[in-house]
Amino acid sequence: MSDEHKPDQNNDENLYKAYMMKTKNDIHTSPTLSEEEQREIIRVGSNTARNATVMISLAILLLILPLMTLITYLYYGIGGKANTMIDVVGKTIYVTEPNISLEEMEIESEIGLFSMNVKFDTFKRIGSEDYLAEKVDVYFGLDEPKFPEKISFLEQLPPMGYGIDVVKDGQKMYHPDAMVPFNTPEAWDVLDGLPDGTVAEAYLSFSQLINPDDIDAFLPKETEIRWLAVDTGLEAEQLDKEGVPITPIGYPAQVDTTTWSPFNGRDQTNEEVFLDILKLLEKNEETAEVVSKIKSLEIKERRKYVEDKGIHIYGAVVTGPIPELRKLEQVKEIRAAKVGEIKLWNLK
Amino acid sequence: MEFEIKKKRKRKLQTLTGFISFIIGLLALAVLNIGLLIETVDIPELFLFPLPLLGVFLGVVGLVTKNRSKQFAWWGIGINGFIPIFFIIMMGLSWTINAKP
Repeated sequence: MSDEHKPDQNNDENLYKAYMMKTKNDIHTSPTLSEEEQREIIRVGSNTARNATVMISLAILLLILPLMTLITYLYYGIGGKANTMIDVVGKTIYVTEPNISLEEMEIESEIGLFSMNVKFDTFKRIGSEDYLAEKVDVYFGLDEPKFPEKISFLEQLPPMGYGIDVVKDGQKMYHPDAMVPFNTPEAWDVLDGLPDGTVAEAYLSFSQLINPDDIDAFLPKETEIRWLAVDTGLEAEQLDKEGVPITPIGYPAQVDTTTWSPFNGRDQTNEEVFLDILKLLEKNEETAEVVSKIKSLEIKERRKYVEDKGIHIYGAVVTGPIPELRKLEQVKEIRAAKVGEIKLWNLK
Repeated sequence: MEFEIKKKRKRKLQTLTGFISFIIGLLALAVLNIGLLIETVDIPELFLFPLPLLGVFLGVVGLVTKNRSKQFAWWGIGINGFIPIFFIIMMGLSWTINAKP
């Protein structure tokens, strides 16, 4: 380093020392916080932070229920999932439960957290009046149904249990090639013992497969056909291909003038509606099996059979006054009958 | 240096309007929860639209206040905005599920 630079260096050092002295002086003379003030700042700061945390936690807790509710509604609402489930439940009843109808307008759906309850009443026509048959409540956890809870108002309680119990207790109509497991003349004895001033429903098994349009020809005039059991290829054996018992499927024989009924007869005949319902149930077979409490519906195979061979009937549910039902004994096309619900005279 | 120490001593308080917005949001949210828990459709309309909208307004005012923490203002806007949106979406979805004339 040359001598000419030395004065500059000394000058810089002096400036630096002066600046440092001033800074130290500033620090000593500037306002400082007492220990008490510092504690106060820390106390207020921690209180503020704690309060904010508590309030935000409260907000998050209060958001949980609305958010879960919203997610549930979005799940059921988007894509019409809930409406499809309700549709499947209602239509399963029509095709698996003989002489049972329901008021589509009165089907209620209650949406809970990630679940939905479908509630409705079913009715049975006996004579000329519809009687409340069951109050049904089907619970869905997301899209998984549970067995329906039913409160029955019928004198003859519906079959309890699931699968084979339903088949054994509930089956009242039999294919011409199937063995009838009950005493056939018993139904005629029951009808003979009933007073004339009553009405009843009767489950008929025919001695041969019949075209739906031909049934009216041999039934007494005062009787009304309510439900037709369709031959789907499995009824002779009463077993599906895996050996699981099956029950009758069929459709209402009469046009239901109720606006929302699928069998309202406006655009399609009942037979066409029946086939459409089978297509719907084929896509939702698990739901239909749980709702009907039947272990195997085997819808795909049965639908194909019906489409290939056409609709042929092997059984029917009829209702009418007892004197008219007694005449059924003389009809050669009927090989077995079972008396269902009985009510006091209600014909006009 | 003096200036910096003085600046540090200033605590960043929450905005009052933001805080009120947040409290309104919590109140409306609590009423909404009660309505959902007791499964009623008769939640007072005051807590669904007028109060939350006031909360959103106060929250926005809180956001433009200078030198104040905007944490509660943001929460207030979020919660108060959520409640009417929640109600409108729920109404729409309820109409689509099992719709009857």
